[in-house]
Amino acid sequence: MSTARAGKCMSTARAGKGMSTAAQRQHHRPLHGLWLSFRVFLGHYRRAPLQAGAILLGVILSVVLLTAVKSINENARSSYREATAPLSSRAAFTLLPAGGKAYLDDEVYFRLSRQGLKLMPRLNGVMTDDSGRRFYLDGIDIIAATSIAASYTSTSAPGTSTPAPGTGPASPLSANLDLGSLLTGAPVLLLSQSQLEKVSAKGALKLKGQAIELIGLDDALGLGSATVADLAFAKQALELPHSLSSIEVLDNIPLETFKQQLSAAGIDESSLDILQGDNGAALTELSGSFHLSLKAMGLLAFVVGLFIAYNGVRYSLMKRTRLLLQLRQLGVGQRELLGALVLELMLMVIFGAAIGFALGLWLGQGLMPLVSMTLEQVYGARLLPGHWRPGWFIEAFGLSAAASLFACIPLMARLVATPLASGRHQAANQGFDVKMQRLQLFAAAALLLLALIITLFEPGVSQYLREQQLTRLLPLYSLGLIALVTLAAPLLLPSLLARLPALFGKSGVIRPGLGQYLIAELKVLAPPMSLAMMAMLLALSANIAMTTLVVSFEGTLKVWLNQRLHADIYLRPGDSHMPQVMATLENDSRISASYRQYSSPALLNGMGEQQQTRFRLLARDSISVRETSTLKTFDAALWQAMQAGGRQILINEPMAQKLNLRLGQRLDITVGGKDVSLEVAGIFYDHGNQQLETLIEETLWQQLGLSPIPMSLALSCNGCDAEQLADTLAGELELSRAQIFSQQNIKKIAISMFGRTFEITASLGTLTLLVASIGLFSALSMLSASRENPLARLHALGVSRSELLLMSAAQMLLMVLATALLAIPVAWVLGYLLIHKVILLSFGWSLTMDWQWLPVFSAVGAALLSAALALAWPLWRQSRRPLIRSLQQEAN
Amino acid sequence: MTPIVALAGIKKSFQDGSERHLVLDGLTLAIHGGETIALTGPSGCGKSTLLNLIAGFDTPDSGDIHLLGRLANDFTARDWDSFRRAELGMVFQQFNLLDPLDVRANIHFPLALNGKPWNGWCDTLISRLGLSELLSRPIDSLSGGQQQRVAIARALAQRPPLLLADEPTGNLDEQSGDEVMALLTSLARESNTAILMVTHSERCAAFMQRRWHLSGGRIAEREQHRQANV
Ligand SMILES: Nc1ncnc2c1ncn2[C@@H]1O[C@H](COP(=O)(O)OP(=O)(O)OP(=O)(O)O)[C@@H](O)[C@H]1O
Ligand SMILES: [Mg+2]
Repeated sequence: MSTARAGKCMSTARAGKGMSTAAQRQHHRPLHGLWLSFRVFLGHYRRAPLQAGAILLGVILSVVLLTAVKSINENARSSYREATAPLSSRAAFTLLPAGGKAYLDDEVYFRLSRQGLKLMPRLNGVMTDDSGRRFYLDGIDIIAATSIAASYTSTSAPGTSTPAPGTGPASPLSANLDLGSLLTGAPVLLLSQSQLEKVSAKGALKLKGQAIELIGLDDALGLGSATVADLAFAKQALELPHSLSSIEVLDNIPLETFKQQLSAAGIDESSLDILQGDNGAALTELSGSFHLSLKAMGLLAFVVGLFIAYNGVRYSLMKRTRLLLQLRQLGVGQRELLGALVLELMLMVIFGAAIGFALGLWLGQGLMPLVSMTLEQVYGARLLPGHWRPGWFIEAFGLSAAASLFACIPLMARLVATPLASGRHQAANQGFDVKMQRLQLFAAAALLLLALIITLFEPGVSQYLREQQLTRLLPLYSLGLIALVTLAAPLLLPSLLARLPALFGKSGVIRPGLGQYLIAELKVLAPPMSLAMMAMLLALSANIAMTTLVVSFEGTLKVWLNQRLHADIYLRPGDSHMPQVMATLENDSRISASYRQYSSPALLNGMGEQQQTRFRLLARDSISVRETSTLKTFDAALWQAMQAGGRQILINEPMAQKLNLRLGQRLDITVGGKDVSLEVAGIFYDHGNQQLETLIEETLWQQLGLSPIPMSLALSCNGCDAEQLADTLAGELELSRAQIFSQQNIKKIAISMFGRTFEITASLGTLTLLVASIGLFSALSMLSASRENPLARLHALGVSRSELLLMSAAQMLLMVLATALLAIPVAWVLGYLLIHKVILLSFGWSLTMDWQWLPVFSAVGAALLSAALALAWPLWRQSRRPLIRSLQQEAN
Repeated sequence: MTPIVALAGIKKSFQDGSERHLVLDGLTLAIHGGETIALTGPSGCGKSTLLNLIAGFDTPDSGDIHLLGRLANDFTARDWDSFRRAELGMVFQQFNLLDPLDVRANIHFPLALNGKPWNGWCDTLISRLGLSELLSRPIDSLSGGQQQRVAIARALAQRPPLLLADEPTGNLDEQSGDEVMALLTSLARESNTAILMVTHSERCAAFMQRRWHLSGGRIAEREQHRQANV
């Protein structure tokens, strides 16, 4: 009735402009009809604002997570490129002590300076203040840093992205400092402002009775949680007057030239470990899969959001079927009508994308601490606070506009083109649905077949990729496998849902009456619900798979830690303290056994993608090697030879994976300036460690002439209170509590670090599920709303409201449960792929899959809850007004 | 004898833009068991509204409605459910068939709700209404007249004591219309069903015992000219 009124309005509007020329105008101005229809549609939404709201909601949700993830990833990447710690990533080379030593001698720095090289000396370590608070000190030469930083800000290096204008100096060091007093070793620490507030809240800092001055620098300078001190003060605080942790060479010279200068300065090259700068490339690559998984999650949420928007469009079109027909009967052309619909959609996309974008940036900011925690813990990368770029908005808008047009135009075109005469489209629609289902089923089968083929050929292909030195393609390859499954699974759903009624119909349990109606209506409901259910399926299975991964990792890590940490107390006093500590502990009656661990960087020659591969060589005493190595595989003969003092080596799983190493293989290694050839005797698990690490026996270490001072000690004390003994020992040995740990302590730290590592993954998983629940809610409530008339018809025949509620609930339950039923195996497959392909291939850790039902039930529960809410609300609304109103509602 | 339906002083108005528009204005009527009544009146005078009030699909602004001797103003939702389920047959102006079900299931629905099987009376109905060939057809494949006949069959399936019919022959040709009328009158006779039927057709009105005219929001009884020509 109201639509007829709208039609009348249109003709009076035209009449107002001059009756006689109305028809002519129609011809001359093809946009006229478009514009008029658009105004009629605006009127439609004015009467049904909820419909517009649903479409907007979908667009907003799809853009929010996409933008949040984008801002996080981009910020992380630019942080890798920018100086994270002051200047370090701009160094051409970084010099580290070789041969198992912890520190470089000051002398190296002086000699190299005399060669006219631009250098940045650095001393890091843990400082303990008088009240026992510990700080990780980053000691640098502030004078040098200030002058260098000034030259960098004026000639910002090309290729690196410059910070947005107005963000202040690029270096934390251009702040006004009293350089004179710094030089003399005055106790001054530089912290980021937020860190400063945290520290000073707990009272003033004192070192050996002397007050330490704290200077706060703007957070935007990116100090993060680091505490910067001048080298002079760092040497005092760490009691290392003649040591350096590293030296950064800032001149841009080739390696060969630098080596010549080394020998000219009379420095033995083999005493140094020379790291070449890569402008953040290593970090970018290392954390690549992390960012990829964030991106995947963002895209998933984007798709789920689009499902919601699409559902909204579909519903609003359905509600306008008659209106559209009437407009066309009044002479509005199909193209004009389509144009008006597209215009309407685009306006909503612009509006929604803008809101979603703002919310997304806000969410990205909120998630940033979690992300930087993860990145710092796992990859040692520090994040700078972010800047957003207008380009992101264009991208988000473009993506949602393109996707929504792609999804909606066929729908609109089909509706606009329905024949004018016929009032019955349902049969035609059903034919279309069946065709679609067949197509989807076919596509799903093809995708699954492809996935199966890939899985079957996986060993061969990954072998090939490794041989071709393309190991970095492996994670991509396995993510591709996941993508296939994620695409195929939802495509299976419509057919499953469509078969549901037949399943019950044949079973014979359905009696005529309401039960029969329930099943018959399910057939009609399934196609429009399929989309929302597909989105739900994706979110459910992604969420469950993620949880499975996290749970499995945690379980594996705990078991592994238990075996790995066999001693009660671990200490790491540093090179200068160690001999004294060892002597003191030798005859200590409280200690039943002590174990030693040595460590040195080393190079592996001729394996992997580069000529030389950097890794860490560890050595432990014989007992420790036997007790603490959790071997994945080993060669019995070689393992025995190794224990008998032979030239064998154990390698960690990531190393074996990444470099495709096998048992019995000979490795040519350069360590401490010497070349040795060692045989792989076994591969040990190294969960949570991304670095390449190897292990040899103490005797071999000594034979190789490497540093005789262990890097760390492990102590056993028969049945003692480890925590308490660690406390006592810290006092007796004058060690900071950061240098001595009980086993419990380490486990706690490892587990909590692990927890933080996965916090961001878990949060995003939950967000995705939330988005999907909202999606399900919006789809279901629209569906319920459009069922007002059919339900009213039943009610008019004497079916009570509680029966109606029960029936609708049963229908929703069936659909949600069918979806969940499909989601569970899909989640299992995804979890399996994540654990046995993605994690194994990208990190090299094999985890034991730990499938738990609790997360499954809670995820399915969330889906059921949103379904229940969506169901209850329209029924409740209907119960509050006369039945006749519902009967008069336009039936679909 | 208590009437099946008794309305007293019924007022009903609708909001029409900014003003209220009074449709029923103090209407009073009584329908007894087995009585057949034709309700006529100009379009928009409130005939359907009156049926909706009796069926409880809408509520009056004021006035009392008695159904089967009970005051319906006090009916609970459950009372209405059982009244519609067991006592009332309704043929809607827009049919209001259940789209997901086929013809047979639609006709059987009221019986099934009461736990009763398909019976001989249903067979009689479908053959007299010419629906035998259509039993397994989906609703949306039927023509308007066919849908109307299904709606009638559904309303009569459980021989309700009260039948409200809103232009039940509006879409039918003369012959089918006559058949429907014959069916209704025989039902009224055999099962003591009271019938209130809205119609614009003189021919159909003539089948009913009484004729009411609705205008100005009230009912006026008119002389019935011809007797049913069964
Ligand atoms: N939900 C409603 N809201 C507003 N007005 C309504 C509503 N339902 C009915 N009306 C109005 O009440 C009046 C009576 O309507 P009703 O449907 O009862 O007429 P009728 O006598 O059945 O007409 P017809 O013979 O055309 O079917 C009409 O003017 C109609 O516009
Ligand atoms: Mg009417």
